[in-house]
Amino acid sequence: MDGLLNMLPESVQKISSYMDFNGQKNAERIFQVLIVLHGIIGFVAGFITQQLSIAVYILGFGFLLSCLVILPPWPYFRSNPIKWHPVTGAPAVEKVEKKKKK
Amino acid sequence: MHSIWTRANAVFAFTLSVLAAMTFAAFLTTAFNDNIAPVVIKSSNAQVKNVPNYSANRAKNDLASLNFDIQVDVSPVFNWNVKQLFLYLVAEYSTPLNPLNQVVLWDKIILRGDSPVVDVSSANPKYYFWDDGNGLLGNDNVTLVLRWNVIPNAGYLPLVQASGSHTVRFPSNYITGKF
Amino acid sequence: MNVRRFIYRVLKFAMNISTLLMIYKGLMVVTRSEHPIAVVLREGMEPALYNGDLLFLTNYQEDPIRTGEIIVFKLEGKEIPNVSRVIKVHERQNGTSKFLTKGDNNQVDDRGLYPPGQLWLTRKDVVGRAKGYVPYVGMVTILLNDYPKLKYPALVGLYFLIRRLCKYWASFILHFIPLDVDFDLN
Repeated sequence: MDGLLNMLPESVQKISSYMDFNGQKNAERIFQVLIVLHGIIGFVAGFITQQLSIAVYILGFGFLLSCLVILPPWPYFRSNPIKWHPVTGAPAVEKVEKKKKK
Repeated sequence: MHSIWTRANAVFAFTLSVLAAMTFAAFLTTAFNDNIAPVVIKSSNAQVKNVPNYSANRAKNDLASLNFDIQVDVSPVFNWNVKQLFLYLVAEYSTPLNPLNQVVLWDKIILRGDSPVVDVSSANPKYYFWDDGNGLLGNDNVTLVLRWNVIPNAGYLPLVQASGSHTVRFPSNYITGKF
Repeated sequence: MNVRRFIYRVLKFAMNISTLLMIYKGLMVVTRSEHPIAVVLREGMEPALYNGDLLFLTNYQEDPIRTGEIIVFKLEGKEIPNVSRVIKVHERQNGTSKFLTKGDNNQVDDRGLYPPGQLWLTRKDVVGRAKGYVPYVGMVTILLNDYPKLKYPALVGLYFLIRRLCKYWASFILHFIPLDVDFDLN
């Protein structure tokens, strides 16, 4: 997988798809609910129409929908960034100051 | 879940699990069906001759011929987990040599979407009706039954016998020449 | 990677492999077939069975073979077993039977496939009898057979894919097990 990713152009690799921890938790719950829901709807619809293909198509739609909802790092999933403690201690402060000078 | 790839992997794996569960549930809803339908079978013109069977042991075996009618509507068997039905007409009989003989005379594949009504009249066997020996001459208890193999989308592969059968009596004289 | 970690990894891998092997051997005992799971590799049974479909087989000797059944049989001198349907059965008084097969997609019976001089199949030729069916699942094996060069990379890839899926399933199942520890991220 990593090998494949390395073959992508540099500019694509740099795009961050990161979600914060809270976003990851929400994203997981969202796609689980979406897919199971579509699975159940599909099962019922397929049973009523007596066509298994309808059930599979509805589940496939659920898959695409959840891909759309949770794959891109929408702002909703990045709204709880980690709040780091302010840096304390002398050496660290020095480094920060040096960077500022540059 | 932190990068797009781990999320894609998780969604895909989860969808596969749900698909498997859904398919299994669909199988469970149809697993206890009896898949039976009534059939009417008739036959006429039963004849036997005694000729060498070149497709098998080249010995003189009984070769039978008959015409048959089959009327069956298999639409009650087609539930949502049936991909195909394989219908086959079997001649079942016993001879002194073999207490049990089964010979398929005719078959038909009915796919989902095809017409579920089969109405065949005075058809000839699709496959040669050879006996293993000379047990057809004068045999008055050759039973014709229609069976089907249900091919599901996923699940068990049952063999079902349609309700209704027909008994053929073969004459006690060989004929010569063509049927 | 230190030595301890490396050994742990190797042992875990061996554990996975032997678990799979145990499941397969267990199925062999339960179904009494030497191939309890088979992948369809021929077109002879289309449109019922396609390349890459998976069959579950049993082979109980006391259960007699009847017409209409889909059986898997292995012929003398042939590597790959055949899948076909029984169209003729002749059973003797002592219970021994001989039968003839034909693929749904073929115009003629399978006698031409049998070794020269063999006119009928007998019970010992049968590897298994199809009882269950799942479509597409065997596709991976077909790809591996068609492109032998892919075999080792694909096996490694498959191993990692399965591991990832298993990990994911495990974490999903853990959601439903109430644990004392819970993450509070706020």
